[in-house]
Amino acid sequence: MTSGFDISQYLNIFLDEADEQIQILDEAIVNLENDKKNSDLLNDIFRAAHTLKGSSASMGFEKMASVTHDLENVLDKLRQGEVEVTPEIIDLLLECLDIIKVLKEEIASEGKEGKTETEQLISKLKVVLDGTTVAKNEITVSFDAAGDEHIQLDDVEKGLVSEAYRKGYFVWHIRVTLDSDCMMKGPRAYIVFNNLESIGEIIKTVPSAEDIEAEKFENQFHLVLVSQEDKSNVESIIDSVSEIESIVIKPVSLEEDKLEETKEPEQKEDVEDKEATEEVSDDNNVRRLKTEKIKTSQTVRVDVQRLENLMNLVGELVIDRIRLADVGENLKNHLGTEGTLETLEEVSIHIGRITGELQEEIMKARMFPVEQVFNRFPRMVRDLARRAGKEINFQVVGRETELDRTVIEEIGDPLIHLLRNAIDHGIESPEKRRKLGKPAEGLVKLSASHQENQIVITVEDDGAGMDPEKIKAKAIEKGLINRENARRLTPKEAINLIFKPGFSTAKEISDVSGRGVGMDIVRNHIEKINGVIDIHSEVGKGTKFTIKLPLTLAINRSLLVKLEESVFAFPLSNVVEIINVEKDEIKHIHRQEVVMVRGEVLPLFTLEELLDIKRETPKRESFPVVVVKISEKPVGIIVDQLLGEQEIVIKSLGDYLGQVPGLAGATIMGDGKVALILDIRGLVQHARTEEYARIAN
Amino acid sequence: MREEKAVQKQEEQLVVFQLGSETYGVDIAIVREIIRMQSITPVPRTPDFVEGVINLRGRVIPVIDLHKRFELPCGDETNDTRIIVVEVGEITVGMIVDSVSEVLRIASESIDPPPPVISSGVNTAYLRGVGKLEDRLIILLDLQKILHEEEHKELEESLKQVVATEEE
Repeated sequence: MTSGFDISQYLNIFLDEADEQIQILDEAIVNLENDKKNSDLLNDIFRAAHTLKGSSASMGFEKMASVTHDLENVLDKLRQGEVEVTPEIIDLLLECLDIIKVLKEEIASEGKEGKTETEQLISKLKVVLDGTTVAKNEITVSFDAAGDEHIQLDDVEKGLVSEAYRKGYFVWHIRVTLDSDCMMKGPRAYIVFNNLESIGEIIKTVPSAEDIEAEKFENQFHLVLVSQEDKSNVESIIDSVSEIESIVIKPVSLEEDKLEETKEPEQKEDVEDKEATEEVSDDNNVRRLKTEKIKTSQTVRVDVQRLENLMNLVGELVIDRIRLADVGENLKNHLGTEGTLETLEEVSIHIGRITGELQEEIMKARMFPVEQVFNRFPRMVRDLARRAGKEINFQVVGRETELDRTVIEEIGDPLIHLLRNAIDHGIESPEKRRKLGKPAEGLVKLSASHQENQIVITVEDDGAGMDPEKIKAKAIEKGLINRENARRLTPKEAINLIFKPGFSTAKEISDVSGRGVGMDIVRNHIEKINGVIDIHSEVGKGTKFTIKLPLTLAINRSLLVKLEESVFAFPLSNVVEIINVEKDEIKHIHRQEVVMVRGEVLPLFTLEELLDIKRETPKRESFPVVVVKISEKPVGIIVDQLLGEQEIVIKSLGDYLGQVPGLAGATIMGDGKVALILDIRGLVQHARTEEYARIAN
Repeated sequence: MREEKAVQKQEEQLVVFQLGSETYGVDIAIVREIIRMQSITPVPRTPDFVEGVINLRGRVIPVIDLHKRFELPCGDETNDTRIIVVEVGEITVGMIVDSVSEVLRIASESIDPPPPVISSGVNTAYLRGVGKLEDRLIILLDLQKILHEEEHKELEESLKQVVATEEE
């Protein structure tokens, strides 16, 4: 019983870790393809593979362990420069990654590895491995980023080292890593140098002192110090400088130097390499472990349901607080001012403020960086581009933009579709682009940013763009619109035709996109999460899709209106404006009531008819009209009374009622009563069918 | 274990409530709480017996009127009117009843299968049985059926109708 529980505990940790490493691999391998000489990337990949190897082996997942073992070996050859990074190698790496993912999924669903075939892949890896001649036993030794960061001393420096040892000095190899967000790397390094020079002599730095002063280093530098001070003193002197992430101090050993004197230069270096690497990496690992430990204690995984419950509890607090204030008010009326009552008032105001803050904090806890979705795209784009024979420069901007978890879950699919479209239909083939005088490599850019209270995500390409005339012709051919109406469309309206169900511009159905279920589904998806999608396209220059989304699905800025005693909420993202209509302004087109607003015909409906609420519509001289719009023409909805704007927390109507047409959910108001949130999309659709029926009759 | 089961079999614990002139009972295990009548927000486009939704400590919960559900004459709301909140599977629903009288134990052997016809007119398909306690008769409701199967069908039907009229 207990052991089963324990295994599942470890399993979850293993899977979380595997997810993390797979993510790293995914990203780094794709980046490596564009930057084949980048040793940092290779090191990242190597480390991820190594971690996976270690954890899968310790969990007893042999297939994954053997794949990652051979993968690691291949990666090591890449790092050593014995094998060159070619597109074929990248493909092989990706293939490994895919198999690892499959294995992970199997483990996740069944708790053990399944029947997935790994032999073939392993033999492919072996081919790469056997293509070179280095002995295997050396391969698994160095696994740290520091592998390429050892210090090579020239003869003069070696002389200095041995002299220092003879005189009884220490010689320290010091690696200093500055905080990654350190703003003044140069000055920090200078202070480190200055401090060290007060206790000894720096005989070498990597990079050179000039480069360090000019900030020509990432955030790490090495130096060799000759000093009488012992390790801990040296460390404390460096540590006194701020913005330092880690310090690694190792003695430069004299034996190494002696060895070097007796051996061939090439071999010497090799030994030194490995020694240095091993030493540094061990220490570095300890350091890293430490920081990782700190990190894990800083974040906690929490079930979303918990946050939801917390949210509800806070909601109750808000309501009770209002009641408390009411009671205080009543008591005051009865008893007059009294000291204790004033205290009560103070307390209730304080509780109110705290509950407000609490609510906000919980809201924030549900936010995630959009990275979670974006990170899987580079790989996808690469695969699609390769398959379509196109060259794509894929740029991602604003990964750190935070969005509500629920929105993040919904946004992935539409984005995949838009990216596929951009690659498949947008970007031209390299030959064609060259003919057009464009760079052979097409640009596809995905970006996310905050704008006021919204998230804006754009997908743009510098491809062929969309031709309004072609789209019109296509729509007519598909019977989506008649010739007469098509002629009257503006170019922008014509482009919007691609959102009609059954429209697809791809001449032939490719494996990627163009199955005729494309854009209307994208738009549905986005509207479902209260988003809006807009296209801007220029023939020959490219297309840009702009998606605007609410920050969260759980909280919504709404316009509250009253219909008799019931309160309804219009999500503000759908409200165009509020107008007041006089009775004699209303005109009729057949049975349809309309009003002219700035020269445009606005059809009018009462909220009760759209919701099938039976009541006598009161006769009034003028009434408020909420003008709403869902990506087409606006519709006016007559209500009894406007109550104003408010932030509301969206709740579902529950499983029992499920989806009620015309309603998007419910919310609890300050007084504890429930108000219904309108599904504007549903209402507008309903209104439109009504309108057609009335005008047709 | 077996002994426990035996005890459970012998006895059932019921929340007993009044609906019109009849006495009904539901298994206490599914009753989450019993609350006073409160203001209910009507929800359009739902079946007639759905009175609306209430705020139950931050959760929005639908409330049905059992009178309407069973096509019984509607009683007026009184000081005794209560909402019994039940949880059946994933579904949480409040049921309006005329009053809640007590919680009692009834021996399993004194529960008879539902008779073909009951005077009150409640469809016997919704009944689990009739409990006899001294001179009283307690009608046991099968909420599983009432909330899951039948009502769901009805809800779906009414929603379909709405959708159908929209599509016309």
